[in-house]
Amino acid sequence: MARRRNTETFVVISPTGKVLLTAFFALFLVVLYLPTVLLIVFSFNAGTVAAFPLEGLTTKWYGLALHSESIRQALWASVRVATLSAAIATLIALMASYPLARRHVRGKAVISALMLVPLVVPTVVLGVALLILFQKGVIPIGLGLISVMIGHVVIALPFAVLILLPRIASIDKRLEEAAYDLGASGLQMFRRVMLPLIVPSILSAFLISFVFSIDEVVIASFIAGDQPTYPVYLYSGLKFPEKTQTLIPVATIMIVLSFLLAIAAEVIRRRGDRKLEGR
Amino acid sequence: MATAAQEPKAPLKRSRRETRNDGGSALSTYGLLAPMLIVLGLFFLAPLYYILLFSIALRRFSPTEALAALNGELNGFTTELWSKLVGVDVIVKLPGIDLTVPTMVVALIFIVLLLLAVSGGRISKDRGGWIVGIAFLLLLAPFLTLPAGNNLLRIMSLSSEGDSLRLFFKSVSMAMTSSVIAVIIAIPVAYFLAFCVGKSKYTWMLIVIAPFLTSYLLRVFAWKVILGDQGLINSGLMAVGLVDEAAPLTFLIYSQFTVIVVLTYAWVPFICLPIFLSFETIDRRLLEAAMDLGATRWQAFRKISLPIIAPGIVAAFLFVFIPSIGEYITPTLVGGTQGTMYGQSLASQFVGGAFNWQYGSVMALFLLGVVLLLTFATSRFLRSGAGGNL
Amino acid sequence: MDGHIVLSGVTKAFGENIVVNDIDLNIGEGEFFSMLGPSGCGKTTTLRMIAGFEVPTIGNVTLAGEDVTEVPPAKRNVNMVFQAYALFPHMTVQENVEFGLKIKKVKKGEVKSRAAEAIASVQLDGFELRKPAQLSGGQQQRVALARALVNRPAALLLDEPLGALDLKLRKEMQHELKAIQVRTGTTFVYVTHDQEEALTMSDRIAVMNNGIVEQCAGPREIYEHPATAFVAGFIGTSNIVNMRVDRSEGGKAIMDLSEGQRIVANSATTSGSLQITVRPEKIHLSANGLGDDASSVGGRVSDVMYLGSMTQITVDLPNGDSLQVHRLNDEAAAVDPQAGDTISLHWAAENSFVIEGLPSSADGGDASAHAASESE
Repeated sequence: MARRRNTETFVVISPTGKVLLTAFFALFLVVLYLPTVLLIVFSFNAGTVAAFPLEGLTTKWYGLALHSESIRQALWASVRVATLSAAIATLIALMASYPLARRHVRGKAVISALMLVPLVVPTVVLGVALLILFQKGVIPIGLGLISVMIGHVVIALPFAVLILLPRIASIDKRLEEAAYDLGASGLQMFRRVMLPLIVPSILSAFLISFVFSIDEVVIASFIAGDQPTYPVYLYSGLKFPEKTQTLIPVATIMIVLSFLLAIAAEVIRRRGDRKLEGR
Repeated sequence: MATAAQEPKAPLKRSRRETRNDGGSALSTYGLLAPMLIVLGLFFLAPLYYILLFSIALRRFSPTEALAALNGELNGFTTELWSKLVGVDVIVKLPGIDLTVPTMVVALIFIVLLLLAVSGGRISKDRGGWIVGIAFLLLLAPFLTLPAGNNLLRIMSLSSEGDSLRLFFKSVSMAMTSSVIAVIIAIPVAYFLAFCVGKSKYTWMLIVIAPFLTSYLLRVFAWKVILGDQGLINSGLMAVGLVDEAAPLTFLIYSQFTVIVVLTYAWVPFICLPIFLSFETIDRRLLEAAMDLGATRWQAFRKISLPIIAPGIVAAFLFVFIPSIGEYITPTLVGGTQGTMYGQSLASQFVGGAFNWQYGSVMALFLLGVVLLLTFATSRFLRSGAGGNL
Repeated sequence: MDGHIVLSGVTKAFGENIVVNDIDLNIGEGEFFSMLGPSGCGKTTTLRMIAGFEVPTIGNVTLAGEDVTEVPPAKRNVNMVFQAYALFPHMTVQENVEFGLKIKKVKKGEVKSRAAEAIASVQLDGFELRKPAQLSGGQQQRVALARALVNRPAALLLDEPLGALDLKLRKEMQHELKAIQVRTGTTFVYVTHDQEEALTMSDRIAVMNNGIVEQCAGPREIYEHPATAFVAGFIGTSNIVNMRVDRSEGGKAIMDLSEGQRIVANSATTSGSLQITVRPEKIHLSANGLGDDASSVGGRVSDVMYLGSMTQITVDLPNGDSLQVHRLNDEAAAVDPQAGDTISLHWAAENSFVIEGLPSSADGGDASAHAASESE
C-alpha cells in the first residue's frame, strides 16, 4: 500500500501562518481576560490597596461589601432601574417594531431614523441634555432613579428595535394570513402565532437592555442625583483608591453575573433562530 | 363632470390599496408607534432642544436661574459662547428678541439633520439632496458670516492651552489612534476566527465578545492594577530587576498613553465582530479562484479578501472612533492631568468645577454636530457594516 | 502545452470518510473528459485534486508527465471554472480576466491584448467595465471562462459550470463550450451530475459513484453498454430484468416462459440467474423486423403516460418486474394500448445487456437517476 499523506488542506492560510495566528489569538485572549482575572484575584487579596505584591488570601472584603448598606442600596437601585427600563424599552420596541416591519407606514424612513439616532448621540451629550430637562425643563421630575430609568429607556430602545424588528420581518407573512384566514382576530393572531415565534427575541431584547442599563454610568452619573445606581457608586468610589478594595468583590460578582446574562441572551437568540427554521 | 374628473384617479387608488399589506387600521398602526414617538420626543428631542436654547441665549444664567429663563424670559440671542469655543472675536448680539421662534426654527433644522445623518441619505434620495445642503448651510450660517480668514487662523493656531477646541482635536487624535490600533489588532483575530477554527468559530466569537458585555468601569479599573506604579507590569519589571524599585515607569498610568491603551482594549472585542462578519461573507471559492490563477496566499488576502471587507473595516473603525471622541469615563479614571479629553471638560461644565451650563451646552452641541456630520458622511459604510440592519 | 493528466491509485479521505476510493484515470491531451455522478460521488473532490486544492491521501496525480501531487494550485498550469463562478465581486470584468496575468507579471501590453482577446472569444466585448453583479448568469459564466482561458492553461477544469443557468441558456452554453474546446484544443475536465450534458459534449465520460469509477468510456458505449447496474440506472431510463437461465444456445442464455415466450441475453451462462437491462426505446410492441433470437414477453399495461414526442408505457411482467417502453408519437404509431390491456413486448437479443452488480445497488441507481432528472 502506498504511503498516506498528511493532507489537511490549507487554502486560506499556510501551516506556519496558522501557527502564528493561533499564537496571536492566544495572546489576545490572555490580554482580553487578564483584567477580569486580576480583579477576581484581588477580590481575595488581604492588602488594602489593589497593588502588587499580593498579601495573602482573605474573604473579608466580600463580607464587608455584603454588609455595606450603601452598596446594597446602590445594587438594589440598579436592579430596579435595569428591570424597569428593560421591560419598558422592550415593550415599546415591540409595539413599534410590528407596524414598522409589517405595515405601510407613512414616513417610515423618518421614524426609523429617529429611532436610531440615540445610538449615535454621544452619551455625554444625552446625559447633560437630560440633566437640563429634568432639573430645569418642562418635565420637572428632578434627579433620581426615575430619571435614570427614562434615560436608559431612550438608549435601550434602538437596541431592542434592532433585535425585534428583523425577527418580526423574517416571519413568513403567510403565517399571519393563515391565522386570519382561520378566523383569528388581530390580538389572537399576535398572541397565538406571532408571540410564540418571537419570545426568544423578546427575551434577548430584554436581557440586552438590562445588561446595558446595569452597566450604564455616563447618563446615570448626570441624573441620578443623590440616589446612585451601582455603576455610579462604583465610579465615584474608583476615584478614591482607599475605597476601592471594598468595591472589588461586588464588582467581581457583577462581572460574573453580567457575563452569564450576556451568554444567556445569546443562547436564547440562537435557539430562537433554530425555532424559526423549524428545527 | 365630477365623475369624469374622478375617473383617472380610480386606478391610482386601487393600486394603493393593493400595496397595503396589512389587516390593521391606520389607527392601530400609529397607535402602536405612538409610545415610542412620545418617549423619543419628550426625552430625546426635547432635551436636545434645551441645550440648543442654552447655547445661544443672551443671558448668562446661573443654573438656579435657568428654570425661570426657560419659562419665557429669554430675551436675546448671542454667539458669544460659540466664539469662545472656536476662539473668534466677532460676537453677534441681538438683545430684546424673543427667542422662541428662532430657536424653534434652528431646532427643527437640527432635528432634520439628525434624521438625515442616521438615515444616511435614504430620506434625501426621496426628497432631493438640497434639503441636506440647505439645512447644513443654515446651521453653519453664524460661522460663515464671521471673517473667514481670522476664523481659520484661530483654529489653526489653537491659541491657548486649555482651549476647548484644542482639547477637542486632542480627543479626536486620541480616539483615532486607539481606533486604528483596535482595528489592526482585530483584523488578524477576525481572520483567524473566520477561517481557521472550523465550526466552533461562533463560540469563540462569543468568548471574544463577552468581556465587552461586562462592566466597563471595572475593566478600566483593572488596568490601573496592571499599569499602576505598583501594578503588574511595574512590579514584574522590578522583580526581574529591569526597573528600579524607586523609579517605576510612570508613563504607564495617568497619561495619554494609558487612555489610548484602555480605549483600545475596551473596544477591540466589539470591533472584531463586524470584521469577522465581513470575512464570513467571503466565499472561500474566491480565494481558491485567486490561487488557481497563480496568486499566493498573501496576494489572495491583499487583492481579494481585503478589498471585499474594506467597507466592513471602515465601519468597524467608525463604530469605535465616533463614540470615543466624546469619551469621558476612561480619561477621568486613568488619564490623570495629561490624558484629559473633551468629554471631561464638557461634563465639568455641568457637574464639575467649571460649572457653566450655557458654555457646556455649546460644547455639547459642537460635539454632537461633529459626530452627526461624521455619521452622515460615512453612513454608507456604517450601514454596510451593520449588515443592512440600520 | 501538454494537457495529459493521469491519476493513479488516488484515494482521498476526510478523516474516516473515504470520498474517493482508489481511482485511476488517464485523460488525454485535448480531450473533453467528463466526470458524471450523483452528488457526493467524489467527482468534485477528484477535480479539486487535479486543481491542487486537495492533496490525495494515497496515490499520485501527474500533469504532462510531471508529478504534481503536492504542487499547490498556483503552481499548476491548470485553471478552474468554479461552481457559481467565484468571480471577484469588487473587480470589473476586465480586472477579473487580467487577474491571473497580472499575478504572473506578464508584460502590460500583453496583458491588455490577451485579455481583450479572451473577452472577445466569449463575446463579452463592451462589458469590460461592468462588475459581476451587473451581469446576467450567462454573462458571468462567460467571464469565468475567459478568466481561466486567458492564462492558456494546459487543462481547464470545470465544476458544474452550467448548474446555475436556466435550461435554454444551458443548451446554448453547451454548444459554445464544446466549440471553444475544439478551437483551443485545451483538455477540458468537466464535472457534472447532468447526464445529458455529459453525453452531448464529452469525448469520454467517467461515471462515478461512492468514490469509485463505475465505467469510463465514450458516450455511446456508456449509454448502450452500461457496465454496471448503477450506470444503467443513472444514464437514461433503464429497465432491469431479473432472469433465470434455463438453457444456453449458441452463446446466448435463454429463459423460457409460457406460450413460447422467452427472454434472451448474450451470455455464456448456462444456469443460475442473470440481471439484464433493456433501454425503453429498444422495446417494441411487435416482433416485426426482429430476429428469431429476439426476446418476447407478455405483460399487463399498468400506466400510459403521454410525454410529448413520445409515450411511455409501463408494463408489469408476470415475474414481478416492470418494464418501461418508449414509443415515438410519429404518424406510424398505432393507437396506444390502454391501462389494463395485455400486450406482448419484443426486443433484439443484442439489446439485452448483462450487468454485474447487486440488485440493491440497481435500486439505488434508479433512485439517483430520478433525482438527477428531476433537478433538471
